[in-house]
Amino acid sequence: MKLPKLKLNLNVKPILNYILIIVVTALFLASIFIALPLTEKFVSKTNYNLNTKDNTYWSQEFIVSTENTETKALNDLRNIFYKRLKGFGVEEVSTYVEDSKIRIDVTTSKDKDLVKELISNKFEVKVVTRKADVNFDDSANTYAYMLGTNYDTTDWDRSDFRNVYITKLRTSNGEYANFAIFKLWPTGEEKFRKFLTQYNGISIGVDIDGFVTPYVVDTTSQIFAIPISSDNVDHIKVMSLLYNSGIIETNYKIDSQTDLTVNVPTVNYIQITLGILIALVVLCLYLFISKTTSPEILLKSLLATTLTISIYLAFLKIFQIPVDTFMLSIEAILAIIVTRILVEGKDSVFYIELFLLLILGSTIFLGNGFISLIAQDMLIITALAKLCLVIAGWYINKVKKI
Amino acid sequence: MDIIINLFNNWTTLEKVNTLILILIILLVVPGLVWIFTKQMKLAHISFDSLATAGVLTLITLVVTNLVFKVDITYTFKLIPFIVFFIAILCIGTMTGFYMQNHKHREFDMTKMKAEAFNDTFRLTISCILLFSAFAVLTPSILIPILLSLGLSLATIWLHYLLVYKLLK
Repeated sequence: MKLPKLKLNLNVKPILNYILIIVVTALFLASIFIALPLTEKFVSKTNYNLNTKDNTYWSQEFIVSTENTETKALNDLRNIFYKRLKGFGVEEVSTYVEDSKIRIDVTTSKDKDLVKELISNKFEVKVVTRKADVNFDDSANTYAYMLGTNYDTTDWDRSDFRNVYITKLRTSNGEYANFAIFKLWPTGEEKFRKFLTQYNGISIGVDIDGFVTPYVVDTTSQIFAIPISSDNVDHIKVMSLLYNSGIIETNYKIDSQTDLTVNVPTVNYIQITLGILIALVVLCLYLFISKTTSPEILLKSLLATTLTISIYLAFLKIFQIPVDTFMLSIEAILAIIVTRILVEGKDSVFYIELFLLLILGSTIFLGNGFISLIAQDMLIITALAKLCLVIAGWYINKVKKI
Repeated sequence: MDIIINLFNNWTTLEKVNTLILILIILLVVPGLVWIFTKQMKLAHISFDSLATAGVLTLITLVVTNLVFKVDITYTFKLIPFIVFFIAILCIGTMTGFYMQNHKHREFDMTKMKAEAFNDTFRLTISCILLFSAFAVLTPSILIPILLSLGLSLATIWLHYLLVYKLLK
């Protein structure tokens, strides 16, 4: 007996479309749920808390006295402190000259010890050679090789190198470790090579504020690099800033360190979420009732805005990126406005994006404190808004076809 | 005036140079780009005036807030110029985009530009009032900066419209 043939007239494309829509909807909902406050109460396996900076802020005043109290020397030193602290991401730095001393007010959520390291270290870098009369193999003085007093100074110091670059290099035992590579000015390369040739196979050193890191000269090596003992990313950043933020000409010390009241406002995350929801709903309701915007554009705008904000918040929560809550509310307002304008003015998108890119990019590099931070966040949010608009348009089209 | 002198004295040379470059980029490069795209000096002029008035208005408002209302200008207040310039850029971008899209049409004239500018201004005003108000009510710790940002944003938006209305003929 022959079995009847089953003819399946299946069109696979709509089914795949259905599945795709279901998956994308699930992803949308997941990002919204993660972004909402109190998610951590219902999901025990993963930490979906917003990592706020609010309680990590501290504020201190440092008084620094210098040997050279000339205005130029003080201003040069202020510039170097500012470069170091801004480079490290210290949120707010103010420097003043008072009674021939420098006052530095710092308000930040960064590690206290590392910030102090950036202020207290002169970081005077010199290439030194061993003194002939010092016994570096003396078992009674095992630290002899570290003390700057046991070395003779040479003509070479930090000013002869254009930059010190810290990176991981392979050590003699095959493992990787951090090294500070000293990059010479092109004009000094030949002279420095000649200097090193005199000490081929001999240990010289790099003196930093009186402590020496030995370096065994190998003329076959193309680079001049000394090891850095730390593997901590923040510490490496501090080292790089100390090497590259300018040369301090005068000796100085910290006279006093006083705690100040922290004056950074905090906003409840639940209030922010409530603010976003109310603002979005009221705005959309108004635009719908007043008929100033077509329902299609309104829907696209609502979906894109919700996606932009929820993906951004979910990203912050999942990767535990520290945020300032007061900035989040301002960013939410600007995100809603920019998304609406990008939806409505299709002809203006290119120009708005170009101008914003220019202004936000410049502000990140040239601005200071919170202005630089908000510019950085808004650049990400604007790019995300653009992406979400494309996704929202595609999603609405797909759903309409079903 | 003390607030400005203090601010200036407390800045390092690097901060002063950086801020000057930033102001020049905002005031010159954006109008310059508007001129490059549109080849219309008037639109570049409007862009420059919008940005310059937004900056001056913000500065005056902060000084008045500090001197007259005795409000300390804290870190949060430093975000106000950012918000105001952000809104000004949106106005300039929308204006440039509309001109570029429509200037080659036979029936295009500057009255259409003015009408579109009014619509954009009105919609942006509604958005700003609703959004800033919702956050002002819910986040009392930053109430004053949010309200100042709202006031200055609205002033910037309408000044931009006024410039479009008066300068485009």
